[in-house]
Amino acid sequence: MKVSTPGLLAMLAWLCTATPVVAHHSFAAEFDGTQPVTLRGTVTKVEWANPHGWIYLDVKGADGKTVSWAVETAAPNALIRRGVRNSDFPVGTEITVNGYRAKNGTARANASTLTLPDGRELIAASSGTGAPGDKGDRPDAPEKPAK
Amino acid sequence: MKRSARVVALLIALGSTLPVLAGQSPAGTASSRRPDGNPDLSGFWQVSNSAAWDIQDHRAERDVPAGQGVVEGNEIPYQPWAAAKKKENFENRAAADPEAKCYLPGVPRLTYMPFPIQIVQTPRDVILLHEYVHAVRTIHVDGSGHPPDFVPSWLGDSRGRWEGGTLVVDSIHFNDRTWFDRVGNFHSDALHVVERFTLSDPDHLDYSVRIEDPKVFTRPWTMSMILYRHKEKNFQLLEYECYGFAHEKTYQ
Amino acid sequence: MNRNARVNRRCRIATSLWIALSWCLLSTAAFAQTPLSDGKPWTPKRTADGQPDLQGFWTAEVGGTYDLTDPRGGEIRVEEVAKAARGAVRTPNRSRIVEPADGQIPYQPWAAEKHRELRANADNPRKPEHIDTQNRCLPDGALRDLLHGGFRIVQTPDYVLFLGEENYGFRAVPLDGRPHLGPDLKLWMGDSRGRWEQNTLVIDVTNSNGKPRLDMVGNFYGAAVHFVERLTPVGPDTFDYQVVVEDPAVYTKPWTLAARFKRAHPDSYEFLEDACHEGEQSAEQMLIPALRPPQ
Repeated sequence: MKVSTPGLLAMLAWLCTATPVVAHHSFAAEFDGTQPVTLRGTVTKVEWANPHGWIYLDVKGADGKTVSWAVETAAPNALIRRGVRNSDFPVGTEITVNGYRAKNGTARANASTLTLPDGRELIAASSGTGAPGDKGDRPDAPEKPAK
Repeated sequence: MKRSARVVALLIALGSTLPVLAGQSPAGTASSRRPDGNPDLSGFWQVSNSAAWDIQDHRAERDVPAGQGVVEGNEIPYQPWAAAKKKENFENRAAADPEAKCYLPGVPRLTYMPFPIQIVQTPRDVILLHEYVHAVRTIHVDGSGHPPDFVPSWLGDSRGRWEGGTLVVDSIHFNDRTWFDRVGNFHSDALHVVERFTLSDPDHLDYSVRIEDPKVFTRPWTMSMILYRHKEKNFQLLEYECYGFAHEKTYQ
Repeated sequence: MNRNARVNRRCRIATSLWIALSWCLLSTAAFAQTPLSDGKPWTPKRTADGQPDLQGFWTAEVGGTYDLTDPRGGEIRVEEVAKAARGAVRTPNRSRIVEPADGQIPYQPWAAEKHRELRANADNPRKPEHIDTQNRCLPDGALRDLLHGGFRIVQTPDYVLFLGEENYGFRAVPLDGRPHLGPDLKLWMGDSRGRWEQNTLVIDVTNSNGKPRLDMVGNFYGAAVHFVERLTPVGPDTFDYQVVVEDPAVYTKPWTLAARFKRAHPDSYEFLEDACHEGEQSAEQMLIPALRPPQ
């Protein structure tokens, strides 16, 4: 239970910069942190409703077969506050998603980031905070997001 | 000061405190006003009708009283495709009514669900707390407009202003997932609701609602009803956790 | 008593007092409730009717309710699992429970066993009761409603209102001294009664139905639970919170959680509707393999 003072201060500083958005369900129960996945596909549908947004992607596999993936994002409320709009990914847009696979083996993933064709990277994380400057909880996220 | 002047001064002082006292008096006096001069709608309110089942004239069914409709003229001006859709909703209502799944009933149905509402007023908003599924509606009365970016919502975005003694509330940005009642009266995401809350006396809120939806109706139409103040001692909201009933056994 | 015995006794008393004082100081430091100003007690501004003004938008400095005793501050458990898979070793964070000293909830043996089972299955539930109540969009209950995310405080002469954004939960706390509800009325949020003791808002919560979980790893209470919360402003944008939780059917003794809250947004901030149940898919089908429909 011990944590170093600098570590605790760093954590507090990180936490202090934003309001945590807490999941309605445990993502760790649904998605597998040991199965990161990168999906490249075209948007077929966007469900823009709380508590989570859903983006449906047609992803062509190495075998040439197309699989429809459902990608879960943070609440649209949080996305809107980060400057993300559902108009950022109209049907037909090619996007890249980094996330984690669902434990149940279905074609579902929890999006950490979304990359648009123009290279813009949107933090779509279902985890982390909804505040500007928060890069979700990607492993490479800086410890202290910009204020 | 001469004695008579002192008496007059005292009477003037007393007289000038009377409006302040009147503003702070509990419900029951003729002018319930807040310090900012607006009517005080705070307290506990509830409708006394069966509009949540059917907003038009309806006969009784088991567990549902008969009711005189709240729709002015008793006619809902559906476009032809929408009239057919309403019939379809009616046929499937037991399963298709979103309220039957314990979803938020939308606006204005949330206001006439048969459960009490607590109104709390601040200088910038009028907050409606609902016993029904702990729903909260915030009506912003700070002069702000509807935000340009929005997520379609069950209860819409509400901006209000005072026109004399009436709170006029403009709401848009709804989703298309709610019904106006159990019998299938419905709307689209173009719904635009204008509500008017007027204290006709300290214990009665006249509530009128203008519905406009160019995708569904041929013209706007209006509902009106009364909200009655709860005056029981120590009255408070309890809970109706609609979708919680199914899970009660799971948790102890 | 001879002189040696008197000296020994005084020494023992002095030592005990010193230990007690150190414990007090350490436990105070443990939840960092030092005043923010130069040591003088903070005098908050007042509402029009004279209450200390706690209005505005707040969030816990160390928030989130994944685990009360090892707070993460947000939903980062998936990333933790990912890091652990890459070999990272995680040090637990300091518990927000300050009494007892070990930072754990003092369960009775049957309750400790139940908690162990819930915690072990939190990430891989096999039964419906392994799923956190919040996962099903059920009300948070007292304590958790303030810790898990941002909320707003509104004060009127007769009420202190806590309004959550997420799942729009609320607590309306009357200040008029009315008695609690009768014992047959059980609420997810319990029944709150508030009063001011100088600058501290004291909230007494009874009539819980005992069902909301305290966090996602299965910390829990029962229907006999009693919360006493204390909120004290300690700076213009900060208040300290302490809650004593007792439940003679579940715990061996009361326990205390402490948290500091900071202002999260300017007063002009607006909550957005955050409907939960309406968008939530079946928790059980999502989380419990045995209950999923065939693909």
